Formats: sequence, C-alpha cells, structure tokens
Amino acid sequence: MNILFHGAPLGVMAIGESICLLSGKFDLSVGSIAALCGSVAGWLMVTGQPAASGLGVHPMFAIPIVLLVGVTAGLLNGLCVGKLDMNPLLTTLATMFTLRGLAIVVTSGHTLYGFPTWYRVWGGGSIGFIPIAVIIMVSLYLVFYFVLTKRKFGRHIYAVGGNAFAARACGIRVDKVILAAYVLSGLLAATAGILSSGRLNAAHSRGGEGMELQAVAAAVIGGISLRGGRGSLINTIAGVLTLTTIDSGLVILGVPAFWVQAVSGIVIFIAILFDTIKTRLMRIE
Amino acid sequence: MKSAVPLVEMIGISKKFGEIKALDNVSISLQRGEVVGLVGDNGAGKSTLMKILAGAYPPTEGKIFFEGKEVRFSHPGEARKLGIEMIYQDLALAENMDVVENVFLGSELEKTVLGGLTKVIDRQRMEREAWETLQKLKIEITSLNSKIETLSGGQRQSVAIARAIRSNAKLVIMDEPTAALGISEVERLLALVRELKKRDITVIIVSHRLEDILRVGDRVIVLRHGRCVGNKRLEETDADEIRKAIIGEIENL
Repeated sequence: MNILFHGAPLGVMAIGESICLLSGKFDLSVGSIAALCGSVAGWLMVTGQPAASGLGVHPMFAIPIVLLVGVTAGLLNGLCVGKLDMNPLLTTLATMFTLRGLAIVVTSGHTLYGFPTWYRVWGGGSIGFIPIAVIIMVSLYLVFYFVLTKRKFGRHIYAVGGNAFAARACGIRVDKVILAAYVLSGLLAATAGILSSGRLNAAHSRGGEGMELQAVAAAVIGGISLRGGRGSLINTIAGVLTLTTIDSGLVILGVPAFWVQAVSGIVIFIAILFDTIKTRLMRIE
Repeated sequence: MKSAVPLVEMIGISKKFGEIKALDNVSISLQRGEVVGLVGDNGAGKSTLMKILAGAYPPTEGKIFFEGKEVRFSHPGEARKLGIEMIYQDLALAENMDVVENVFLGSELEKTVLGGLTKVIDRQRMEREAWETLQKLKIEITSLNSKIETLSGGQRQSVAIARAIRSNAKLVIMDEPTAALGISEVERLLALVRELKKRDITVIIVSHRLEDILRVGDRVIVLRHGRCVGNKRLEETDADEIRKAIIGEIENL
C-alpha cells in the first residue's frame, strides 16, 4: 500500500504517457506539466508568501483551473503534433523546457507551501487505511483500460499507433485522435501534479523532474511498445510499481541517495533495450 | 449500358503538385458493375487520379459526379460514406490488430450498455458480420482473431477486400492488387473481382500487369504523362495496342 501511495502521481502520469505511446507518439512534457500545475495551484491558493498571489483561491475553483492548465498544455502539444505533424519528440522537448520555465515564473523560483486542507486531501488523505491518491489512481486505470479496450476511441488509438496511414484511409480522423491523446496526457499530468504537491504540501518549479522518463519507462516495462499500437495499459501499473519499488528499495537497502537516479536511468535503459529486441525478433519472424 | 446515369464521372480533372502537373484535364466515367483497368507507366498519374477519387487529395481543377450528383471530398472518410473504397497497394491494414478489427476499421459497430450510460464496441456482432462477409466472398481465413502481422499477403488482401465490401461499397479501387501475390493468390483475387462484378460493384484495377486486366476487365483506360490517351472496351483492342499506347508509340488508343 505504501508503494502504491508513493507511486500514485507517477502512476497517473504513466496512464497519459501510455495513451500517447499507444497512439504512436511521445510526450516528454508531462513532468513539466505536473510542475507547472503544482506551481499554479500554489500561486492561486497559498497565502502569506510573497511568491504566491495571496488570493487564497478556494480549492473548489483552483483545482478546475489547474486541470485546465494541463489540458491547455496538452492541447498545445496535440495541435503541434497532430495537426501540424511536427516531430513529437522535439516538440514535447520544447514544451518541456517552456512549461518548466513558466513554472519558475509562476513561483519566482521559490517553494510554495502550506496548501489548504481541501487540496492536500487528494494527494495525502485517506479513507480508512486506503489513501485517496491510490483510489484515484486505480479508478483512472480501470476507466482508461475500459476506454482503450472497449470504446471506439480507444480502438482508434491502437489503429493510429499501428498504422496511421491505414487509419486515415479508413476514415479515422488521425489528427483528432492524436490531439485527444495529448489532451488526456496533459490532463492526467495535471492530476499527477495535484496529487504530488498535495501530498508534499509544497510545490516548486523543479517538481516532477525526470518523471517524464519514468512514465515512459513504466509504460515500456509494462510492455507498451515505443513504435505504437502494441501493449496493454493495465500492465503499465506493474511498471510503475517496479520503478517505485526500486526507488524505495534502494533507500531501504542503504544505497546512498546519490545513486538512485543513476540506477533508475539504467532500468529505463534496459526497458528500452528489451523493447527494441522484441521489435527486432518480431521483424525477423 | 446498365443505367443512364454513370456511377462515377470525373470531368476535366487536373492536379498540380507545385510546378509539376500530375494530371492534365482527365475525364473518365464508370458504369455500375463494370471492371475497368487503369494502366500507364510509372508517373503517368494513375495513383493520383485514384487518390482524388477516393478523397485522399482534392483536385486542382475539375469536377466529380457520383450517381449524378457533384461531390467534393475533404478526406477519405467522406468518399467512404458514399461507397467508394480504395484498397491500397500496401493494403492499409493495422497489423497490430486482428481480422475483425481490420474489417471494421473506421466503421466499428457499437452497442449501448449499462442502461444507456455508455457505448462499447459490439465485438460479437462484428465477428458475426465479418464471418458472413468472408463467407459471401468465399474467402478462407483460419481465425478471425489472428493479428494481421501473422497472415500471408493473399490473406491480407482478402481482409482488405472484405472491409471494402462489408461497408456496402459501390466502387472498389484496387491499387496494384497483384503486385505482392503468388500465382495461386492472383487466381483467387481475380475470382474475387468477378464475385464483386456479380454483385454489381464497380471495380477499378490499377495495374502494371496487363494480363490480369485482360482476363477480368471490361474496359481499359490508359494514362500517359497525366493525360488520358485511351479508353476502349477490351474486345475492341489487344495487349499489343495497349502497350503501345502506354509507352507512346501510338498517340491515342
């Protein structure tokens, strides 16, 4: 349960990343979207700190605004990649820098802390002994697994990722499907940002750094292929648990914290290597 | 012929890609249930003309009439809705998905569940209808649940054709359908074309292989350098004459 709790923000973010990967694209900006959303949330709600707005906006209004920020960021990515056919890797790399830059602007480079209870409860609260963040994550996995396997839109994601040309020839609006994948990715990254800043009761512009790669790794470890259209969302959660276990396992084993990033990087590397080998074997066959 | 109004009329079609004129004032018309061979050398404009008809590109100039009404397509979905299906050379199948899903790609059947709360893919009905379509066309496929990437070239072609027929196509355009097939698979494809003709479906075969067209076609249209240089019923011409028209040894067929 503890690992699930720690992995919840990454888990939610990895859903969006999985959808992007299944559609044959890539979203490197999710970590920055989460940071920007946490920062905006802090700016709106936190009082008594010069870096915040001091407006003290109620979470009931602040949370929808924050989600809207995520959707807007996703919309921007989606328009560039889906409509203008820009390179997904470089486009989201550019938005990754830009959005993190905006997070610095919003927080003036400070850490904002002291969120209202009705914001913190989503990331840090529990019902009985079950953390609310875990409930949210598991529900989102179930909902999106249903969408991807049973709904027309979900099957179109797979079709576009498998063969965009075929999908288009069959009258599927490929541009709209890709746009929707990025919007969902943005929305879920914003949710991840809310969960993580709520749990920490703090937001700063460097939050969620490197999380985009972890999200990709979680999806790939779960068997979602980098070339699109192949894999199952439900396995992504296994990838999330693997990465979170490694993170906390290293700490428990007494490995110096400096090593955590290097080891995570190696795990991601191995996951991508496996994906490549799998692809090659399939081609030879 | 069969009806006074042709199924398709393309009038004065031109297409420019930048400075290059791929098609220059081409006019063709197609009757119902007709099998027409569209031939020409590489770069003669065959594929461009067909992509315009299937809604993949808009023409620079010219008009298209379908069942007597003028139509304009902004994407292939609109042409499909009217019953124009294009089977691409590379077949346009999602290899990561199975036979049923490919037969219904872009026109999935849905049912409402949970008391109208949400719609889901109606897999059972899709399987049943896919099976019926394959039966009707005498196509043999081992399993409807096979991923396309596990099928042979001929089987893939059958799936692509089944998709075209299932959606009540009135016109099926086949782009180089025999290019990737073995000899026995070509025979099966030609039988399939005859099956389509029996159902009053118009078929356009874009091909380099004259022999295939001579065997199943009713009429041949020849393009050269983006212009229509021949349009004849097959009994009024022969392979040699068509070949000469393709390479320009004779000006017009």
